Amino acid sequence: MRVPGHPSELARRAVAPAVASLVLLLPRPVPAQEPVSPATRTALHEALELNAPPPPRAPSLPDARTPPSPPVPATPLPPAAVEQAKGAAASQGAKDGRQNQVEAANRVAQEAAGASAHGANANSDDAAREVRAGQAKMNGGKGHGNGPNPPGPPPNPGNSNH
Amino acid sequence: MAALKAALLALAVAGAPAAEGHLLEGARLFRAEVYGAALVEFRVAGALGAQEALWYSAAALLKLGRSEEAVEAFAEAAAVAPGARDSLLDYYRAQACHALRLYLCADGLLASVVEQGGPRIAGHARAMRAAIASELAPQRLPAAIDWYLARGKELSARRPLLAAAYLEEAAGLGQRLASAYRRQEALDALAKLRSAPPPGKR
Repeated sequence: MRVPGHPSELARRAVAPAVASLVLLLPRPVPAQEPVSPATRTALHEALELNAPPPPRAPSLPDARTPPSPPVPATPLPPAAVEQAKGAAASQGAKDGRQNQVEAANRVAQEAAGASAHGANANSDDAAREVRAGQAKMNGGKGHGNGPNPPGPPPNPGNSNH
Repeated sequence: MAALKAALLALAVAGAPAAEGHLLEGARLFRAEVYGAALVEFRVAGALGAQEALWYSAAALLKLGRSEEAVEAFAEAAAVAPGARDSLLDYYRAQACHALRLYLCADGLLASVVEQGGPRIAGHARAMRAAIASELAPQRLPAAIDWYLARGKELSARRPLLAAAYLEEAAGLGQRLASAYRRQEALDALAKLRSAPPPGKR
């Protein structure tokens, strides 16, 4: 229990602004380049090797009759959902000190929404899925591991540009 | 006071291991062929500071059939994290180029994959190179160059990385013709593109 005028309370009051200043002076870790460990790089390499696509169908040079890649209809993200997720992320991040991850997930969700609206060659289902996944991370506060990832899409056998 | 110092230190390094965790989770999801979720993990890792995550985002985009975005992401990855490039990533990048009919782009990447890739991937690369070589007959190149130039110019304002890929293809194909068909025009468009201020982040 805090007692006004008690030495411990006076000390706390004296130290708190200094700590706050220190925290403000600390560099933000998010943009720093981070080395990736050999184990992680091996896991990534194995995943890519395992699912490396086979040679595609025979090439075909374009000519005047070749259309450009058809635009895919965009699936815009409902703005209310973004705001709601942001609010949840902010309160969750403040609670547990994972603000960096929350901010990162927030940016990813917004970029996914942007890509969805951008639409030139985006697969709208995938973009919407990205948004949902980003939101789930924000709301659930799970950085990684057993987060509530949505069920994934089936492998895309072909390419939408042809 | 020691506890306070420890807390401050933890705060300072918070996020450093997080990016790696997202990369690992992305690898797991990619392995399980859940490419959409893997893409999210890679993008979060990139946002947390792991710049080489861009390479893996690009690979996930390719697997999702979003080849234009993949070509852009690969170009960005090569610019910001060139040290993370390897023959397997080159193979994925070549696939993205191939999907957009950027065959010279693909062929250039596949040449190094043949030399440095593992046996299976190198075999794929060799087959792709042979097919590309048979397609690039000189008599068909002018019409293709027209198409690449038009596409590059059309995309210049909106998607400069993608536009550059098309313009480089036009210039490269032009070089294969004795007449250097529209090569200078492609090079001029590329120079103009590169001298323009970068557009705002999408």
